Amino acid sequence: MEYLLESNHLCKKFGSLMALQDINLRITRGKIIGLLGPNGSGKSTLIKIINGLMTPSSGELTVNGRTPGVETKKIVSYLPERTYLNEWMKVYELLDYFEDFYEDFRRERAEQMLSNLRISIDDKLKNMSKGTKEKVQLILVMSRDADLYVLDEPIGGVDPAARDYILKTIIGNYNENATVLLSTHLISDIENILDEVIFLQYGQIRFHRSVDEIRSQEGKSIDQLFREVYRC
Amino acid sequence: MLGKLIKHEWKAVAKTLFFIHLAIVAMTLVGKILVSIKAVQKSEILTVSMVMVYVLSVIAVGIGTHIYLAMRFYKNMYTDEGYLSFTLPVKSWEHIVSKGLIAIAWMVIDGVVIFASIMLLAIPKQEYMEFVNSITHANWEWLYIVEVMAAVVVGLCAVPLTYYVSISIGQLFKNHKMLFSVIVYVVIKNVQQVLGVVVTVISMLPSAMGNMDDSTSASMTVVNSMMGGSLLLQLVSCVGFFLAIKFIMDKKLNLN
Repeated sequence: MEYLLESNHLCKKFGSLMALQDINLRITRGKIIGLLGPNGSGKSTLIKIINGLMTPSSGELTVNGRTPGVETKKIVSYLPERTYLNEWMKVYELLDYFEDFYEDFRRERAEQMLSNLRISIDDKLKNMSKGTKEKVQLILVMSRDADLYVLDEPIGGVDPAARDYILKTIIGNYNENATVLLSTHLISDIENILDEVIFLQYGQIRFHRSVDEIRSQEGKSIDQLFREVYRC
Repeated sequence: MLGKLIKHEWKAVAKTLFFIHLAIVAMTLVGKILVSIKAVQKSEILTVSMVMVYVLSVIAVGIGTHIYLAMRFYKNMYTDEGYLSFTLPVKSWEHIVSKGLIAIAWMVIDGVVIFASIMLLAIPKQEYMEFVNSITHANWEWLYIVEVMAAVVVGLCAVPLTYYVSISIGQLFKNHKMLFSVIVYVVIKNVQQVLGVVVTVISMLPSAMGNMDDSTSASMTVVNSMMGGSLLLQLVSCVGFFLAIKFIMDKKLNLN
Protein backbone atom coordinates (compact mmCIF):
# COMPACT_ATOMS: atom_id res chain seq x y z
CA MET A 1 0.00 0.00 0.00
CA GLU A 2 1.27 3.45 -0.82
CA TYR A 3 1.18 5.86 2.06
CA LEU A 4 0.52 9.55 1.61
CA LEU A 5 3.48 10.33 3.83
CA GLU A 6 6.16 7.85 4.71
CA SER A 7 9.53 8.16 6.35
CA ASN A 8 12.22 5.59 6.98
CA HIS A 9 15.01 6.09 9.50
CA LEU A 10 14.78 9.82 8.96
CA CYS A 11 17.50 11.78 10.80
CA LYS A 12 18.40 15.43 10.90
CA LYS A 13 21.54 16.69 12.60
CA PHE A 14 22.52 20.28 13.31
CA GLY A 15 26.19 20.05 14.20
CA SER A 16 26.21 17.70 17.17
CA LEU A 17 22.51 18.18 17.91
CA MET A 18 20.15 15.43 16.76
CA ALA A 19 16.97 17.31 15.85
CA LEU A 20 15.32 14.21 14.45
CA GLN A 21 16.36 10.66 15.16
CA ASP A 22 15.20 7.55 13.34
CA ILE A 23 11.73 8.79 12.47
CA ASN A 24 9.57 6.07 10.90
CA LEU A 25 6.15 7.36 9.94
CA ARG A 26 3.28 5.92 7.95
CA ILE A 27 0.45 8.32 7.28
CA THR A 28 -2.63 7.38 5.27
CA ARG A 29 -5.22 9.53 3.53
CA GLY A 30 -8.43 10.85 5.06
CA LYS A 31 -7.10 11.65 8.53
CA ILE A 32 -6.68 14.67 10.77
CA ILE A 33 -3.48 14.10 12.67
CA GLY A 34 -2.07 16.10 15.53
CA LEU A 35 1.71 16.51 15.59
CA LEU A 36 2.32 17.22 19.24
CA GLY A 37 5.31 17.82 21.41
CA PRO A 38 6.99 20.48 23.51
CA ASN A 39 9.22 23.18 22.05
CA GLY A 40 12.38 21.76 20.54
CA SER A 41 10.95 18.29 20.11
CA GLY A 42 11.54 18.36 16.35
CA LYS A 43 8.08 19.31 15.05
CA SER A 44 9.27 22.26 12.98
CA THR A 45 12.22 20.32 11.59
CA LEU A 46 9.95 17.50 10.48
CA ILE A 47 7.51 19.97 8.93
CA LYS A 48 10.32 21.73 7.08
CA ILE A 49 11.57 18.43 5.65
CA ILE A 50 8.06 17.51 4.48
CA ASN A 51 7.89 20.84 2.66
CA GLY A 52 11.33 20.64 1.09
CA LEU A 53 12.70 23.55 3.12
CA MET A 54 15.33 21.27 4.60
CA THR A 55 16.99 18.08 3.49
CA PRO A 56 17.43 15.08 5.82
CA SER A 57 20.91 14.17 7.06
CA SER A 58 20.09 10.52 6.49
CA GLY A 59 17.11 8.30 5.87
CA GLU A 60 14.27 9.30 3.60
CA LEU A 61 10.86 10.87 3.56
CA THR A 62 8.36 10.65 0.74
CA VAL A 63 5.05 12.31 0.00
CA ASN A 64 2.88 10.23 -2.29
CA GLY A 65 5.96 8.15 -3.08
CA ARG A 66 8.20 11.06 -4.07
CA THR A 67 10.91 12.88 -2.19
CA PRO A 68 10.02 16.55 -1.54
CA GLY A 69 10.38 18.64 -4.70
CA VAL A 70 8.28 20.36 -7.34
CA GLU A 71 5.86 17.42 -7.67
CA THR A 72 5.17 17.16 -3.94
CA LYS A 73 4.82 20.92 -3.55
CA LYS A 74 1.94 20.74 -6.00
CA ILE A 75 -0.03 18.54 -3.62
CA VAL A 76 1.09 19.80 -0.21
CA SER A 77 -0.53 22.92 1.19
CA TYR A 78 1.61 24.39 3.94
CA LEU A 79 0.78 26.94 6.58
CA PRO A 80 3.99 28.01 8.29
CA GLU A 81 4.12 29.48 11.76
CA ARG A 82 5.41 32.71 10.19
CA THR A 83 3.51 35.30 8.24
CA TYR A 84 5.00 34.78 4.83
CA LEU A 85 2.88 37.25 2.89
CA ASN A 86 4.24 40.31 1.18
CA GLU A 87 3.21 43.34 3.19
CA TRP A 88 2.64 45.54 0.14
CA MET A 89 0.15 43.20 -1.47
CA LYS A 90 -3.60 43.52 -1.45
CA VAL A 91 -5.70 40.44 -0.74
CA TYR A 92 -6.84 40.06 -4.36
CA GLU A 93 -3.22 40.21 -5.52
CA LEU A 94 -2.49 37.31 -3.20
CA LEU A 95 -5.39 35.40 -4.70
CA ASP A 96 -3.91 36.06 -8.17
CA TYR A 97 -0.55 34.83 -6.93
CA PHE A 98 -1.94 31.58 -5.52
CA GLU A 99 -4.11 31.06 -8.58
CA ASP A 100 -1.09 31.45 -10.85
CA PHE A 101 1.15 29.03 -9.01
CA TYR A 102 -1.17 26.38 -7.60
CA GLU A 103 -3.39 24.55 -10.03
CA ASP A 104 -5.51 23.24 -7.18
CA PHE A 105 -6.32 26.70 -5.82
CA ARG A 106 -10.07 27.40 -5.67
CA ARG A 107 -10.56 31.14 -5.83
CA GLU A 108 -14.33 31.10 -5.21
CA ARG A 109 -13.79 29.17 -2.01
CA ALA A 110 -11.23 31.70 -0.81
CA GLU A 111 -13.46 34.65 -1.68
CA GLN A 112 -16.39 33.04 0.13
CA MET A 113 -14.37 32.50 3.31
CA LEU A 114 -12.94 36.00 3.17
CA SER A 115 -16.39 37.49 2.93
CA ASN A 116 -17.59 35.28 5.80
CA LEU A 117 -14.88 36.84 7.92
CA ARG A 118 -15.62 40.31 6.51
CA ILE A 119 -12.17 40.72 5.02
CA SER A 120 -12.28 42.85 1.89
CA ILE A 121 -10.19 41.65 -1.04
CA ASP A 122 -9.10 45.25 -1.60
CA ASP A 123 -7.49 45.47 1.83
CA LYS A 124 -3.75 45.79 2.05
CA LEU A 125 -1.88 43.29 4.20
CA LYS A 126 0.11 46.14 5.71
CA ASN A 127 -3.00 47.61 7.36
CA MET A 128 -4.17 44.34 8.91
CA SER A 129 -3.79 43.12 12.47
CA LYS A 130 -1.60 40.08 13.05
CA GLY A 131 -4.67 37.93 13.68
CA THR A 132 -6.32 39.01 10.43
CA LYS A 133 -3.17 38.28 8.48
CA GLU A 134 -3.11 34.79 9.96
CA LYS A 135 -6.70 34.28 8.94
CA VAL A 136 -5.95 35.37 5.36
CA GLN A 137 -3.00 33.02 5.24
CA LEU A 138 -5.06 30.09 6.54
CA ILE A 139 -7.83 30.82 4.02
CA LEU A 140 -5.30 30.77 1.18
CA VAL A 141 -3.86 27.48 2.37
CA MET A 142 -7.24 25.82 2.94
CA SER A 143 -8.59 27.00 -0.42
CA ARG A 144 -6.35 24.55 -2.19
CA ASP A 145 -7.58 21.06 -3.06
CA ALA A 146 -4.39 19.58 -1.74
CA ASP A 147 -3.67 15.98 -0.78
CA LEU A 148 -1.78 16.92 2.35
CA TYR A 149 -2.28 20.01 4.48
CA VAL A 150 0.54 20.80 6.87
CA LEU A 151 -0.54 23.38 9.37
CA ASP A 152 2.01 24.69 11.83
CA GLU A 153 0.29 26.34 14.79
CA PRO A 154 -2.78 27.38 12.81
CA ILE A 155 -4.70 28.72 15.79
CA GLY A 156 -1.93 30.14 17.92
CA GLY A 157 -2.36 33.81 17.20
CA VAL A 158 -6.11 34.25 16.89
CA ASP A 159 -8.95 34.79 19.34
CA PRO A 160 -11.17 31.87 20.46
CA ALA A 161 -14.09 32.86 18.22
CA ALA A 162 -11.88 32.91 15.14
CA ARG A 163 -10.33 29.68 16.40
CA ASP A 164 -13.68 27.93 16.10
CA TYR A 165 -14.18 29.31 12.62
CA ILE A 166 -10.73 28.15 11.58
CA LEU A 167 -11.26 24.64 12.92
CA LYS A 168 -14.60 24.49 11.16
CA THR A 169 -12.83 25.66 8.01
CA ILE A 170 -10.23 22.95 8.33
CA ILE A 171 -12.77 20.20 8.83
CA GLY A 172 -15.08 21.59 6.16
CA ASN A 173 -12.44 21.92 3.47
CA TYR A 174 -10.57 18.70 3.39
CA ASN A 175 -11.97 15.74 1.55
CA GLU A 176 -11.65 12.09 2.38
CA ASN A 177 -8.76 11.71 0.02
CA ALA A 178 -6.73 14.31 1.88
CA THR A 179 -4.95 14.35 5.21
CA VAL A 180 -4.37 17.23 7.59
CA LEU A 181 -1.24 17.24 9.72
CA LEU A 182 -1.35 19.97 12.31
CA SER A 183 0.97 20.96 15.08
CA THR A 184 -0.15 22.99 18.06
CA HIS A 185 0.26 23.62 21.75
CA LEU A 186 -3.46 24.22 22.20
CA ILE A 187 -4.41 20.57 22.41
CA SER A 188 -7.73 20.87 24.24
CA ASP A 189 -9.02 23.15 21.49
CA ILE A 190 -8.37 20.66 18.74
CA GLU A 191 -8.56 17.26 20.30
CA ASN A 192 -12.15 16.70 19.28
CA ILE A 193 -11.29 16.88 15.62
CA LEU A 194 -8.23 14.66 15.69
CA ASP A 195 -8.20 11.09 14.38
CA GLU A 196 -4.61 10.32 15.31
CA VAL A 197 -1.83 11.86 17.34
CA ILE A 198 1.92 11.73 16.98
CA PHE A 199 3.87 12.61 20.12
CA LEU A 200 7.40 13.79 19.49
CA GLN A 201 10.07 14.03 22.16
CA TYR A 202 13.78 14.80 21.84
CA GLY A 203 13.54 14.30 18.10
CA GLN A 204 12.01 10.85 18.36
CA ILE A 205 8.50 9.53 18.01
CA ARG A 206 7.20 8.72 21.48
CA PHE A 207 4.09 7.17 19.96
CA HIS A 208 1.72 7.38 17.03
CA ARG A 209 -1.78 6.18 17.92
CA SER A 210 -5.39 6.71 17.08
CA VAL A 211 -7.32 9.01 19.39
CA ASP A 212 -10.13 6.51 19.90
CA GLU A 213 -7.63 3.91 21.02
CA ILE A 214 -6.10 6.30 23.54
CA ARG A 215 -9.46 7.29 24.93
CA SER A 216 -10.74 3.72 25.29
CA GLN A 217 -7.51 2.17 26.53
CA GLU A 218 -6.20 4.90 28.76
CA GLY A 219 -9.47 6.61 29.62
CA LYS A 220 -7.84 9.98 29.24
CA SER A 221 -8.13 12.98 27.00
CA ILE A 222 -5.20 13.80 24.74
CA ASP A 223 -4.62 16.95 26.74
CA GLN A 224 -4.31 14.95 29.98
CA LEU A 225 -2.06 12.42 28.33
CA PHE A 226 0.15 15.17 26.92
CA ARG A 227 0.56 16.71 30.36
CA GLU A 228 1.54 13.35 31.83
CA VAL A 229 3.95 12.38 29.08
CA TYR A 230 5.75 15.69 29.07
CA ARG A 231 5.61 16.46 32.79
CA CYS A 232 8.57 18.65 33.66
CA MET B 1 6.23 28.54 -14.36
CA LEU B 2 9.29 30.66 -15.22
CA GLY B 3 7.04 33.10 -17.07
CA LYS B 4 4.75 33.45 -14.06
CA LEU B 5 7.70 34.01 -11.75
CA ILE B 6 9.03 36.71 -14.07
CA LYS B 7 5.62 38.38 -14.21
CA HIS B 8 5.25 38.47 -10.42
CA GLU B 9 8.84 39.56 -9.93
CA TRP B 10 8.29 42.48 -12.27
CA LYS B 11 5.10 43.44 -10.42
CA ALA B 12 6.88 43.26 -7.09
CA VAL B 13 9.70 45.65 -7.91
CA ALA B 14 8.27 47.85 -10.67
CA LYS B 15 6.29 50.27 -8.52
CA THR B 16 9.13 51.47 -6.31
CA LEU B 17 11.74 51.55 -9.05
CA PHE B 18 9.41 53.29 -11.48
CA PHE B 19 8.83 56.12 -9.03
CA ILE B 20 12.44 56.74 -8.13
CA HIS B 21 13.34 56.85 -11.82
CA LEU B 22 10.41 59.10 -12.54
CA ALA B 23 11.92 61.42 -9.95
CA ILE B 24 15.17 61.57 -11.95
CA VAL B 25 13.23 62.34 -15.12
CA ALA B 26 11.30 65.11 -13.36
CA MET B 27 14.49 66.51 -11.90
CA THR B 28 16.15 66.55 -15.32
CA LEU B 29 13.26 68.48 -16.83
CA VAL B 30 13.17 70.99 -13.95
CA GLY B 31 16.95 71.34 -14.20
CA LYS B 32 16.75 71.95 -17.93
CA ILE B 33 14.23 74.74 -17.36
CA LEU B 34 16.19 76.31 -14.50
CA VAL B 35 19.43 76.30 -16.48
CA SER B 36 17.80 78.34 -19.21
CA ILE B 37 16.75 81.08 -16.77
CA LYS B 38 19.21 84.00 -16.81
CA ALA B 39 18.87 84.86 -13.11
CA VAL B 40 19.76 81.30 -12.16
CA GLN B 41 22.77 81.33 -14.47
CA LYS B 42 24.13 84.42 -12.73
CA SER B 43 23.83 83.10 -9.19
CA GLU B 44 26.82 80.92 -8.47
CA ILE B 45 25.48 79.59 -5.16
CA LEU B 46 22.24 78.53 -6.80
CA THR B 47 24.04 76.79 -9.64
CA VAL B 48 26.46 74.98 -7.35
CA SER B 49 23.74 73.81 -4.97
CA MET B 50 21.57 72.67 -7.87
CA VAL B 51 24.40 70.64 -9.31
CA MET B 52 25.15 69.20 -5.87
CA VAL B 53 21.55 68.12 -5.31
CA TYR B 54 21.39 66.64 -8.79
CA VAL B 55 24.64 64.70 -8.52
CA LEU B 56 23.75 63.32 -5.09
CA SER B 57 20.28 62.29 -6.27
CA VAL B 58 21.64 60.49 -9.30
CA ILE B 59 24.16 58.64 -7.16
CA ALA B 60 21.43 57.78 -4.64
CA VAL B 61 19.12 56.42 -7.34
CA GLY B 62 21.94 54.47 -8.99
CA ILE B 63 23.10 52.83 -5.78
CA GLY B 64 19.57 52.64 -4.39
CA THR B 65 18.37 50.58 -7.35
CA HIS B 66 21.09 48.01 -6.79
CA ILE B 67 20.55 47.83 -3.03
CA TYR B 68 16.79 47.56 -3.52
CA LEU B 69 17.16 44.68 -5.99
CA ALA B 70 19.63 42.85 -3.73
CA MET B 71 17.37 43.35 -0.70
CA ARG B 72 14.37 42.13 -2.65
CA PHE B 73 16.22 38.86 -3.31
CA TYR B 74 17.22 38.52 0.33
CA LYS B 75 13.74 39.30 1.65
CA ASN B 76 11.83 37.20 -0.81
CA MET B 77 14.06 34.13 -0.55
CA TYR B 78 15.69 34.06 2.87
CA THR B 79 13.35 35.77 5.34
CA ASP B 80 9.77 34.79 6.28
CA GLU B 81 8.68 35.30 2.67
CA GLY B 82 10.98 32.42 1.77
CA TYR B 83 8.47 30.04 3.37
CA LEU B 84 6.16 30.84 0.47
CA SER B 85 8.80 31.23 -2.27
CA PHE B 86 10.38 27.88 -1.52
CA THR B 87 7.08 26.00 -1.27
CA LEU B 88 5.88 27.14 -4.69
CA PRO B 89 6.03 24.25 -7.15
CA VAL B 90 9.00 25.69 -9.05
CA LYS B 91 12.65 24.73 -9.38
CA SER B 92 15.26 26.78 -7.58
CA TRP B 93 16.97 27.75 -10.86
CA GLU B 94 13.71 29.35 -11.96
CA HIS B 95 13.84 31.63 -8.92
CA ILE B 96 17.42 32.65 -9.74
CA VAL B 97 16.71 33.24 -13.43
CA SER B 98 13.46 35.16 -12.92
CA LYS B 99 14.92 37.44 -10.27
CA GLY B 100 18.16 37.86 -12.24
CA LEU B 101 16.42 38.83 -15.48
CA ILE B 102 14.22 41.42 -13.79
CA ALA B 103 17.22 42.82 -11.91
CA ILE B 104 19.19 43.10 -15.18
CA ALA B 105 16.23 44.79 -16.87
CA TRP B 106 16.08 47.40 -14.13
CA MET B 107 19.82 47.92 -14.07
CA VAL B 108 19.66 48.64 -17.81
CA ILE B 109 16.69 51.00 -17.38
CA ASP B 110 18.54 52.67 -14.51
CA GLY B 111 21.68 53.08 -16.61
CA VAL B 112 19.81 54.44 -19.61
CA VAL B 113 17.79 56.95 -17.55
CA ILE B 114 20.83 58.27 -15.71
CA PHE B 115 22.95 58.41 -18.87
CA ALA B 116 20.21 60.24 -20.79
CA SER B 117 19.70 62.65 -17.92
CA ILE B 118 23.37 63.55 -17.71
CA MET B 119 23.58 63.90 -21.49
CA LEU B 120 20.61 66.25 -21.53
CA LEU B 121 21.80 68.41 -18.68
CA ALA B 122 25.57 68.46 -18.76
CA ILE B 123 26.76 67.78 -22.29
CA PRO B 124 26.31 70.49 -24.93
CA LYS B 125 24.56 69.27 -28.05
CA GLN B 126 27.60 69.71 -30.27
CA GLU B 127 29.85 67.54 -28.15
CA TYR B 128 27.13 64.97 -27.88
CA MET B 129 26.83 64.79 -31.67
CA GLU B 130 30.58 64.42 -31.97
CA PHE B 131 30.49 61.56 -29.48
CA VAL B 132 27.78 59.78 -31.45
CA ASN B 133 29.68 60.37 -34.68
CA SER B 134 32.89 59.00 -33.28
CA ILE B 135 31.10 55.81 -32.31
CA THR B 136 29.23 55.32 -35.55
CA HIS B 137 32.12 56.21 -37.83
CA ALA B 138 34.89 54.39 -36.04
CA ASN B 139 36.56 51.54 -37.86
CA TRP B 140 35.21 48.66 -35.82
CA GLU B 141 36.71 45.27 -36.01
CA TRP B 142 34.19 42.42 -36.02
CA LEU B 143 35.85 40.39 -33.33
CA TYR B 144 36.03 43.48 -31.16
CA ILE B 145 32.31 44.18 -31.53
CA VAL B 146 31.41 40.61 -30.68
CA GLU B 147 33.69 40.71 -27.66
CA VAL B 148 32.22 43.99 -26.45
CA MET B 149 28.69 42.66 -26.83
CA ALA B 150 29.58 39.44 -25.02
CA ALA B 151 31.33 41.42 -22.28
CA VAL B 152 28.23 43.58 -21.80
CA VAL B 153 25.90 40.57 -21.56
CA VAL B 154 28.15 38.57 -19.26
CA GLY B 155 28.97 41.67 -17.23
CA LEU B 156 25.27 42.38 -16.72
CA CYS B 157 24.59 38.80 -15.62
CA ALA B 158 27.51 38.93 -13.22
CA VAL B 159 26.09 41.87 -11.25
CA PRO B 160 22.94 40.25 -9.79
CA LEU B 161 24.62 36.85 -9.56
CA THR B 162 27.39 38.35 -7.39
CA TYR B 163 24.78 39.93 -5.11
CA TYR B 164 22.78 36.71 -4.92
CA VAL B 165 25.74 34.44 -4.20
CA SER B 166 26.94 36.80 -1.45
CA ILE B 167 23.49 36.88 0.12
CA SER B 168 23.07 33.11 -0.21
CA ILE B 169 26.37 32.50 1.54
CA GLY B 170 25.62 35.21 4.11
CA GLN B 171 22.32 33.60 5.11
CA LEU B 172 24.14 30.41 6.07
CA PHE B 173 25.31 32.19 9.22
CA LYS B 174 23.12 32.08 12.26
CA ASN B 175 23.17 35.80 13.00
CA HIS B 176 24.13 39.02 11.20
CA LYS B 177 23.22 37.48 7.86
CA MET B 178 23.32 40.80 6.02
CA LEU B 179 26.66 41.79 7.51
CA PHE B 180 28.18 38.50 6.42
CA SER B 181 26.64 38.93 2.96
CA VAL B 182 28.42 42.28 2.60
CA ILE B 183 31.70 40.78 3.78
CA VAL B 184 31.37 37.89 1.31
CA TYR B 185 30.65 40.42 -1.45
CA VAL B 186 33.76 42.43 -0.66
CA VAL B 187 35.89 39.27 -0.56
CA ILE B 188 34.51 38.04 -3.91
CA LYS B 189 35.16 41.44 -5.51
CA ASN B 190 38.74 41.53 -4.26
CA VAL B 191 39.49 38.00 -5.38
CA GLN B 192 38.06 38.84 -8.80
CA GLN B 193 40.30 41.91 -9.01
CA VAL B 194 43.41 39.90 -8.29
CA LEU B 195 42.40 37.14 -10.69
CA GLY B 196 41.58 39.81 -13.26
CA VAL B 197 45.12 41.17 -13.13
CA VAL B 198 46.59 37.68 -13.38
CA VAL B 199 44.39 36.81 -16.36
CA THR B 200 45.25 40.08 -18.09
CA VAL B 201 48.97 39.51 -17.72
CA ILE B 202 48.74 35.92 -18.91
CA SER B 203 46.56 36.78 -21.89
CA MET B 204 48.91 39.60 -22.94
CA LEU B 205 51.98 37.37 -22.99
CA PRO B 206 51.48 35.46 -26.27
CA SER B 207 50.55 38.51 -28.33
CA ALA B 208 53.23 40.66 -26.73
CA MET B 209 55.85 38.12 -27.75
CA GLY B 210 54.37 37.73 -31.23
CA ASN B 211 54.80 39.78 -34.37
CA MET B 212 55.13 43.45 -33.50
CA ASP B 213 55.77 44.79 -37.00
CA ASP B 214 52.36 46.25 -37.52
CA SER B 215 51.83 48.17 -34.30
CA THR B 216 48.11 48.89 -34.75
CA SER B 217 47.05 45.35 -35.43
CA ALA B 218 49.37 44.11 -32.66
CA SER B 219 47.80 46.42 -30.10
CA MET B 220 44.36 45.34 -31.28
CA THR B 221 45.35 41.72 -30.77
CA VAL B 222 46.53 42.52 -27.26
CA VAL B 223 43.26 44.27 -26.50
CA ASN B 224 41.33 41.38 -27.98
CA SER B 225 43.07 38.72 -25.98
CA MET B 226 42.91 40.81 -22.79
CA MET B 227 39.20 41.19 -23.22
CA GLY B 228 38.86 37.54 -24.07
CA GLY B 229 40.70 36.66 -20.86
CA SER B 230 38.58 38.81 -18.58
CA LEU B 231 35.45 37.70 -20.40
CA LEU B 232 36.34 34.11 -19.72
CA LEU B 233 36.94 34.94 -16.07
CA GLN B 234 33.56 36.67 -15.80
CA LEU B 235 31.84 33.77 -17.52
CA VAL B 236 33.43 31.21 -15.21
CA SER B 237 32.43 33.32 -12.17
CA CYS B 238 28.84 33.57 -13.40
CA VAL B 239 28.50 29.82 -13.87
CA GLY B 240 30.17 29.17 -10.51
CA PHE B 241 27.92 31.67 -8.72
CA PHE B 242 24.80 30.26 -10.31
CA LEU B 243 25.66 26.70 -9.28
CA ALA B 244 26.59 27.84 -5.77
CA ILE B 245 23.28 29.67 -5.29
CA LYS B 246 21.36 26.68 -6.60
CA PHE B 247 23.23 24.32 -4.30
CA ILE B 248 22.56 26.52 -1.27
CA MET B 249 18.87 26.86 -2.12
CA ASP B 250 18.45 23.12 -2.66
CA LYS B 251 20.56 21.75 0.14
CA LYS B 252 21.53 24.41 2.65
CA LEU B 253 18.46 26.53 3.12
CA ASN B 254 18.53 28.11 6.55
CA LEU B 255 15.19 29.81 7.15
CA ASN B 256 14.68 30.92 10.73
